[in-house]
Amino acid sequence: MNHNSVEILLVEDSNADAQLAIRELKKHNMANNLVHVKNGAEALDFIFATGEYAVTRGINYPPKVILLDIQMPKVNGIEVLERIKADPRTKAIPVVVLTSSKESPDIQKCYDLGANSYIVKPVNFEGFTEAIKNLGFYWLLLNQPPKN
Amino acid sequence: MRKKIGYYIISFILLVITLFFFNKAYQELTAYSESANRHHTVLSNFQTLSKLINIAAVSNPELAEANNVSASGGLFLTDSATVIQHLRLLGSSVRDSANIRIAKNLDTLIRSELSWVLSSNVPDSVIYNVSPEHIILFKRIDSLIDAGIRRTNFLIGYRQGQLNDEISRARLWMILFIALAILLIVFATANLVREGRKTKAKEQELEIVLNRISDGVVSLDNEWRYTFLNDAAMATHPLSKKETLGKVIWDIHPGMKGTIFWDKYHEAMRERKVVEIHEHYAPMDIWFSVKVYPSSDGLTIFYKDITENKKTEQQLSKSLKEVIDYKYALDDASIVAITDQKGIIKHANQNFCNISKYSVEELIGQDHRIINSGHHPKEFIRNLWVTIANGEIWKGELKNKAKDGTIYWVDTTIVPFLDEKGKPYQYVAIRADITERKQGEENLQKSLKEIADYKYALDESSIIAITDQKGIIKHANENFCRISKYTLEELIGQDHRIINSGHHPKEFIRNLWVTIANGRIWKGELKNKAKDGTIYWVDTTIVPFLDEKGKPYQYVAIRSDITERKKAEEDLAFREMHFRSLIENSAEGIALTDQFSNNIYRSPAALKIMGVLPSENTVNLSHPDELEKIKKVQIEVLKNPGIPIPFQGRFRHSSGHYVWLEGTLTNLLHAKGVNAIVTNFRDITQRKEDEDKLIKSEKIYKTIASNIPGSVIIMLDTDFRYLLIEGDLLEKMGYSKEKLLGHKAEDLLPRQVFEEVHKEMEKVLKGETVIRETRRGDHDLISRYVPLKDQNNTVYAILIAATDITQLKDAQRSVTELNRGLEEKIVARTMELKKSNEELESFSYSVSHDLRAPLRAIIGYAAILDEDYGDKLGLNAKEVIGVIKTSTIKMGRLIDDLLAFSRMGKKEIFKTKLDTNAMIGEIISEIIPPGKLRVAVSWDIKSLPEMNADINTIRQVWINLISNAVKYSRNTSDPRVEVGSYRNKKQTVFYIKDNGAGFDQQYKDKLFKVFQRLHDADEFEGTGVGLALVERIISKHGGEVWAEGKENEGACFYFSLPD
Repeated sequence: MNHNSVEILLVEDSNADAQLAIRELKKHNMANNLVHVKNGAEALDFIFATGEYAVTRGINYPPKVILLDIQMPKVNGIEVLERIKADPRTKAIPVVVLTSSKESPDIQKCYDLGANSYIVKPVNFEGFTEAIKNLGFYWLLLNQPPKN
Repeated sequence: MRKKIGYYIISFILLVITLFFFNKAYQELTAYSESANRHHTVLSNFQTLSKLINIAAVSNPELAEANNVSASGGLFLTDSATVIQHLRLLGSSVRDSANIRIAKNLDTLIRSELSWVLSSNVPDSVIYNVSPEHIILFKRIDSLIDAGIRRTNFLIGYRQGQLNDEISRARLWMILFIALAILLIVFATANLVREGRKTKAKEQELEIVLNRISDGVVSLDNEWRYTFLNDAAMATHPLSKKETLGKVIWDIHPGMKGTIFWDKYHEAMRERKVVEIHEHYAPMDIWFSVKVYPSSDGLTIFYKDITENKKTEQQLSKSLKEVIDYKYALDDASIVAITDQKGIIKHANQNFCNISKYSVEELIGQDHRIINSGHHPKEFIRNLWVTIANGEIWKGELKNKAKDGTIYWVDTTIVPFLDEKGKPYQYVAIRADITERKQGEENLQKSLKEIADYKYALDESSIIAITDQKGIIKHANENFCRISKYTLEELIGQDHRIINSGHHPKEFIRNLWVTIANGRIWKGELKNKAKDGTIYWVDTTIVPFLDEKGKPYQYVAIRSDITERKKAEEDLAFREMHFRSLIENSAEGIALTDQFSNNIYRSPAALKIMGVLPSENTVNLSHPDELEKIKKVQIEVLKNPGIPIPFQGRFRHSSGHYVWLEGTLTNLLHAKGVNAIVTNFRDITQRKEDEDKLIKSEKIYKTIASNIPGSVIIMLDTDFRYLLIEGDLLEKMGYSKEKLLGHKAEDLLPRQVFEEVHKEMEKVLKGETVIRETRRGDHDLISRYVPLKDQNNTVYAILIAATDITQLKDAQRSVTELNRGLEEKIVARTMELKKSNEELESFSYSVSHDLRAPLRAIIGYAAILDEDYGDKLGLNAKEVIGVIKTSTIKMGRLIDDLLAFSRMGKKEIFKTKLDTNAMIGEIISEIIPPGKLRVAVSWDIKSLPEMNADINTIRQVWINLISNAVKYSRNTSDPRVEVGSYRNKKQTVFYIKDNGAGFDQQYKDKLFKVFQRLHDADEFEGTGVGLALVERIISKHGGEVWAEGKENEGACFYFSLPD
């Protein structure tokens, strides 16, 4: 897969959650150019084209949207978000935060850091897929990234 | 001139008319001559035709025969063409109607006779046309031609007559007009000649006039040459008139070049305008007034010598200036007013305004009545007017009134200004203010009159003063001066305050003034003060003098000196008062008795001490136990006159009890003015009782002090002398009772200690109670300083009670120590607790997050199973999947609730005033979407007070409680929910009551515990966290929550919120 034509970067440590999300996106033909990374460190490597992605990717080909889980081991979602929004090369990439609870104080922090939206991962699966679906549409199809 | 023009116009009109008639006549003549010519042509035409016909006829012998014409005249002389031609000629020339008819007939006849001519030649006519018919025809032709000739001749004759008429008429008119024109011309010419003569006469006359007038008159032509000089002009021209005429002015007066005259003459000549010059002509040293009139052919100059005028003018302006100066001086110094002959003020100077207090604007247009005081009799005023109206100067003194009513006197001179007829046209009044002088005069006169009446009679006998209505002294006689020690000069102009002693109250003085101001006589005694401060009394009568209106204008005070009398009176009164007050205000009782001890007088203090007694023998009041003792004293008193003998004993009060008295008795039976035994005494009952009490209390103190170990009671008098010391504490501390008693604290205590104590004891002497804690050596002491007061509230001793509290203090110190340790421990514990709280918080947070992840997987994959393989698994499998899903969702809700509950622990509360009614309304509409319930709940929401609470959390409380109420009453047929409140102390209690499932009262404690439920999940869904959360929120608000209920009858939940 060409890593320079990625549309969705899914950063999610829970395999089950990731599979459910991908399944849902696939249903709506939005997972064609999706890359799933399992932790924050890998996500950063991917986004900034470092480490194992140094060869396969260029930083000038950002994903169209990043779905970012907050609760992750090692480098968590907030740190990743911080890095993305702090770098002028990447800060234009829309980031949608995935969180387990809408009352989490992390949400406010993510907004402060420049997150574009958030999705609560509900226990009720239908709700979650609905949210993923709508969000994917919005960010992929409707929201135009700023031109350089 | 007009006439002349009239003549010429008339002449012109006549001429025009003449020409018109000429023209007319000419035209008519032309017309007549034309018609005459035509008639002649016609005549000749007829004659020619006749001739031609005759010729033609001649060629016919018969015709010739008939006509007697010789046939030898010539044949063939004429032919028919010529005849026709002439016939046509005739036709075209005739105008007259008769002739036209003839010509027509001729034409017809000739044409019919001669038509053959056209088709043959003449001889033929001779041959073929000789017949009688032709002859007749010829004869007819001939007669017609004759008729034509006759008619034409007649016409010519007629015309000729007419023409002659016209010509004679025209001639007549012409003669008339020419005669008129000649007449007019002659008349006009005669006029002209006459006028010319007149002008010449006028010119001569003018010359004579010009020569006669005193002004110089000179005429110049355009070349500045003299054309005329009058006689007067010769005075300023050096040459004779004949020599001067024709010369150029500048040659005669070369000095004129370059002067204003040169310029002005040129200006007049150039601009053709009249010029006036008033200038000094230096070469002749003459002032000229010159008027230059331009004429058609030069200038005419009128001039005169005004040197004399100028001089007069200068003198006049000088004297005018002087007059103005005088006026200024007058204006400045005097009061000046100018009136017209009717007395209307036309001018008033500043002085006038100042004295009359009117402004100029107010004065102008008024007459002098505006300042009339009404003082002068009418006769006087009339006399004034008669004088000045006759043109004479009036002098006199006038009393006037200013705008504000003040009166002023002016010395007045009125000068009438006379017109040419000798009649005054204005009056100038010059005044000088003599008010002061006049007032002085007036006063003097008044005074003289009145004083003459009274002075003599009173002056010698009395003290006399006269004041004006304001109380200002205007006169004082010698006696007044003598007694007041002021000179007359010092007194005059002052009011009576100068001698006011200040003795009399204001009311008294006011009363005096009211009396005299109302015109009544006042009598009384006055205390006055002389210049040197000595006081004197006068018996005073003040008589107001009334003016004609009945108002006092002055007061005469007649006084007589009563100082001696007053002094005696005062002395007496003073002395009596002095002693009386000594006796009456003395706290000591004073009693006077006769030699048998019978009462004569008792002072108020004595009455107070003894009560009101009948005049009883004093000795008999003595207490029976002491009667003998008193009697002895009595005897001693009688034996020793003048010597005070002391006594002490009990006497009976009027109310029956005994009082202790102490005092002296003095025999003054022989002292003049007293003649009595004087008893001075005071009540010492209290002292006696205090003494008793002290003795008693001493005993008590001793008893107390000796019975409390580790304490001491000390009594000090007001000099800090030890009166009493009891208790073992003092000795414990190393003092000995014996060494202290009777000595002063100052002498015994160490300096530093005494100073410390002294401060406190001073406070105690002022009546305060002082408590001190001190440490002396190894001992902690608590000392109480108490003032001991007698009945009069006077401190007479200090009581000090000190206790050893060393042990207590030790205990206190160890407690403090312990407390400090405890506090430190608490801080440490709190820190620990906080830390563990934080840990717990993050634990519950991550647990709830991590717990949710597998749930998502379960429900997600169950969904996948259902979606992808549902068809293959069958109906039971779908149910199984459904159970998995609902259980997982429930698990998720549990986690959510637990999370909220645990977070509540660390949430901070921000209290604000909240509208409870509004919040409940919102909640009800949110949690129960309309139509979702099987049976509609009937709500009973009372009017609720405001809550003082945190908006977010209290909202959760209401949501939980209201949704519970709805949930648990949904199986009831008629669900009712009531929300209300009531006050309880400083709290508001809210309650939510339903008629639903209720609960068993014995489990009510479990209601608010986490995960505790009183109903099956199948019956009523729920996690068991809601009420626990409610309890937590309310307790965070400082309130309480509780519930009442009965199974199947409903429940009521209460919570209280503090204000």
